Amino acid sequence: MNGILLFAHDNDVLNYGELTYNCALMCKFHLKLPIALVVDESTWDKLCESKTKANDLFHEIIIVSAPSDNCRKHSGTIAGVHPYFNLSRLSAYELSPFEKTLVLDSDVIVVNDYFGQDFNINGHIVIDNKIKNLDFQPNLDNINLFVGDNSIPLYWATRFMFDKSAESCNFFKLAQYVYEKYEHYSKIYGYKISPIRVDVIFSIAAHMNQGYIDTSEYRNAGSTIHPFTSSLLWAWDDNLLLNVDNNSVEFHVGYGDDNQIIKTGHNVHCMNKLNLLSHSKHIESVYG
Amino acid sequence: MGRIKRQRGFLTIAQNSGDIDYLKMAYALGISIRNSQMAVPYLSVIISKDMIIPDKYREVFDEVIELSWDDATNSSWKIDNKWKIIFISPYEETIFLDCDMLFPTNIDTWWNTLSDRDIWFSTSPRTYRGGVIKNSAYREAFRINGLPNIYTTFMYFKQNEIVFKIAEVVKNIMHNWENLKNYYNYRNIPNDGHQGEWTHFINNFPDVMSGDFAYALALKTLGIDNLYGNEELFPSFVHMKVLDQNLTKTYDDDWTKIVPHSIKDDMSFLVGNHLQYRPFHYVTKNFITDELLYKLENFNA
Repeated sequence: MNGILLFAHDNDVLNYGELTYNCALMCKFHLKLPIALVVDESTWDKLCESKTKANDLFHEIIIVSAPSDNCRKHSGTIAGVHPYFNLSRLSAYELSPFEKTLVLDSDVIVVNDYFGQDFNINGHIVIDNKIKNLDFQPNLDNINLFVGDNSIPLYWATRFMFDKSAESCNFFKLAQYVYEKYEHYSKIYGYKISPIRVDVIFSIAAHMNQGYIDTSEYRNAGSTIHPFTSSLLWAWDDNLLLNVDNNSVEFHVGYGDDNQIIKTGHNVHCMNKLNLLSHSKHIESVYG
Repeated sequence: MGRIKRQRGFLTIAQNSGDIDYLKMAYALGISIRNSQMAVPYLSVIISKDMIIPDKYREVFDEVIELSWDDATNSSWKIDNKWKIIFISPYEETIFLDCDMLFPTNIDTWWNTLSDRDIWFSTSPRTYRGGVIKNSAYREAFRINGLPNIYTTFMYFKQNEIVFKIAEVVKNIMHNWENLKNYYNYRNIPNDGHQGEWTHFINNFPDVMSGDFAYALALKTLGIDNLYGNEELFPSFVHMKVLDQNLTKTYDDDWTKIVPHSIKDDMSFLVGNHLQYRPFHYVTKNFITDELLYKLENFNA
């Protein structure tokens, strides 16, 4: 059985439970796949109190402790250093109840069924190391391309897929090892040790798994790592979400003479979570 | 045409200049080729007349070819003899290499593909991360003049008429470099009666002679740049010019000061934690340290 795995751990400033709930609504509408939720008890209780349909929405609820010891610096209205509970994704392989699993960040806006095609990819681990902005142009900032300026490609754990195979199992074991040696690898690969990023962990694991070669240009049947076929566009912190409906999403981008409205029927990773949360009720009304 | 010793081999030029020991680099290249290549482990070296070569260096080179006359006597960057390589190579099929290169892996399989053509230049060098170098920071003169983006750093050629013809044109370009440059400049002198007139199609002819530029210009002049100058992914090599590595921080011309690198005892070569497997043009002239040389010399496959 194929399925979607989502994660939700509230912190002191962001209601990840609500973000994930909305993401699940959109996934269920468009992808019609079972959705499993990895969540801590507190976040789940809070979600059940506010969303009466929460229990019915998810195929399976997997209660875990919120992974601790990680913080992230936020800017804007929630400026400051806050807990960052992202590390339970490293256990996705063990936690997922599905044969083939698509993991999505809870701030992914799903407005079509394109992700469904990715389940046909003949690869054990599916993850992207190149991303596109809302205007479909590749994002060429080194900070978004590489783990460190002179270092290896950055694979984005915003969206990844895996099957229940020995290759995938080994990949996650390698990722766990990299996590345990995160500080050591920071000296080799040139990244900051805080916050601990699953993107960086997966990037190092993918790079080692592929023999320390970037194989982006020539995947073959023997590669463990494959890119996605469907697109996921990136909306950055300063791209303002204007509207979500059942087949498109609209953003305001740019400043001054460069500002424009972009409406797209592609799925979007909305980095500005507070902005996304402000549309929560509307998303629920469209997809609920 | 030089004496033909065997069917296939590698060739380089090593003419020391100032305090740069190109011969040492050629020696390191020779060991690297001997360590990595199975079918064609031969490197011949072209040197200045009466250059002293240590015995241990001679053992590594297939042939040591002294230049009977040196066009680069008065040049600090000794490019001027690069047209001669065609005529004095001891091989029917030659891969010419710049001497500041190493071979991390075996490229035996490349030869049969390369032999499909009379001459084959690299046109798509790579960064150490494996990406193709496009719009090189060092190639503006090529772009603005519509010259093929060829690199003689890694260049295959046969001994035949078309290749000799190309070499003759390269010779003429190199021998007339100053005239070509000044002829254009002359026509830009105000009030000379010809101001603004083009004497040839080259905009801003480079001050400093470049082998790549000369060969590219030869192909264009002969009208065969579409045959031998198209941008293709093969053959390729890693070209460690700092500004072409897609780095944000380029505070030094010497990439070894910016990007971590290591060569292990088994010759696996990591740059920026990327395993190198293409021919590697290290560019920086102090890369061949005594420690590295020791590893190369003592590598036992």
